[in-house]
Amino acid sequence: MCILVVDDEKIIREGAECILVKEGWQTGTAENGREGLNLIATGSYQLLLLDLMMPGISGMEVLKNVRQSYPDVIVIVITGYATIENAVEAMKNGAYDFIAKPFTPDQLRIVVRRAFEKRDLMLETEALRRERRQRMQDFVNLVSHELRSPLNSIQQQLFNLLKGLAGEITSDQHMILERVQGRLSGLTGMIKNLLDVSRFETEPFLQNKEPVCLKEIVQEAVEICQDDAREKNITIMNKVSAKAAAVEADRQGLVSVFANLVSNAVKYNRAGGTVHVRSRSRGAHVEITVADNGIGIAPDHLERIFDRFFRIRTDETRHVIGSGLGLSLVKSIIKGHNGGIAVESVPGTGTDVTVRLPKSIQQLSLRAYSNCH
Amino acid sequence: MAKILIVDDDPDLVESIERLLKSKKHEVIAAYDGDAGLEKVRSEKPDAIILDVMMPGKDGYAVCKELKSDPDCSSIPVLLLTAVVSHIPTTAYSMRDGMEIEAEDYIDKPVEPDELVNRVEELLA
Repeated sequence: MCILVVDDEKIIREGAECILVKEGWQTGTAENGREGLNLIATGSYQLLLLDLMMPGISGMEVLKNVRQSYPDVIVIVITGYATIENAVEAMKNGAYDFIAKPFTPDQLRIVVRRAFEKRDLMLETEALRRERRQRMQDFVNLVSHELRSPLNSIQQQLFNLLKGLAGEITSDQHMILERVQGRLSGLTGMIKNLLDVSRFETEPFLQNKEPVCLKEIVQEAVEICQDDAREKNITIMNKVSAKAAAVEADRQGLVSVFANLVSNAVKYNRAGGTVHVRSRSRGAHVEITVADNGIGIAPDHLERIFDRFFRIRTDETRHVIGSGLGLSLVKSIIKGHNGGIAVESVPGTGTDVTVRLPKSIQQLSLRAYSNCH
Repeated sequence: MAKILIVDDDPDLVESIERLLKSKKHEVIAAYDGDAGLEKVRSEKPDAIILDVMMPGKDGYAVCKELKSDPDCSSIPVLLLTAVVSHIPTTAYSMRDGMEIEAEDYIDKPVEPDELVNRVEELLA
């Protein structure tokens, strides 16, 4: 374990070093904030004893910088005059503890030892968290292969039956098989959603962020829902402006968002209905609204629609196949993009779902732009 | 009529695709893992290959790579069968992966029969 003492007073640096070395800890010293930050940047220190009152960069600045750039380093502040305000502010800024000058060797030893205990716990927690993620991932992989493969195989064989490749079937049989098929694809969709939910929860996701063109994303989503829409004679219109600002996004995640929203707008709609997707610029954000003139959502259901596995069961929705996972997935993806989502609905009239995403800081990259045209 | 090789570790899936293609009067041969698939390609010289991506042992990507780097087989068109883990939008990804390894086409499982027949016809054309 290596401790860095940053203090402009030589006597404190040397005194602290002397106490800590006796305990078997390795130490280093710096006499100002700049020097301290440079030493921290070498990565060889796990704990920082930091004076708050120094000429040059203040201790508080050093603290903020370390918390932001080196979250694994634990910081204990040394307050020159024992004002509680300074200590409180430092703790608010992420210091683990404070010690007031002058301090006894025992006080210093106790504070440092406790900080190291805390660090051990922190590392252990992180290791456990990683292990949990890994297990979740293993489970997801298992589900994806072991559950989906047989499902695919069943569907494939059903296709053949329906196609009459195993002999003629009666219209009654055909109807029954089609129902089976409907339920099967519902099940497949549910597994896909479930996998996505775990993917977005377990992976440190959004590693694939790139500037994307919203019109194109929405178009991909619309095409996914087109078959279902055609069946109910529902018109989907992608009115997102080709000039809508680009957003930094996980492409796959964002298509998933709009595919789920448009799919809901189709599923909870009446035959002959319409679904409009449009965009609007709002300062630093872009808003995309998926609007339908379908059956709407009752006010007392509105607050629960983002809950996992929540589904509205009424006469109008009973025939709709769904997992109750779509919107919870949508919400976690949007959250991962620092965005927001809002729903407005009038029962019997329709629903507007608005997704708000921060605009990309960079200009629309050439790639996203050319994809658009 | 063409000779088509199906490589997939799921015998039921092989059987159902085989049935479909035979109904279109194609000759169908099958292999149930990557190595057997490669062997069949070399011994049978099929006109097209339908290749599952997710197989234990040598997966479809590896098989395809090997085929495409072998001058004797590289001209045989390959249709990849993908069953990608994630939700709907994976087509772009499977396509990207598929194209990177130089397969001629890819299709997501389960495969709609008419769609599969069309894709196979396109490969053979």
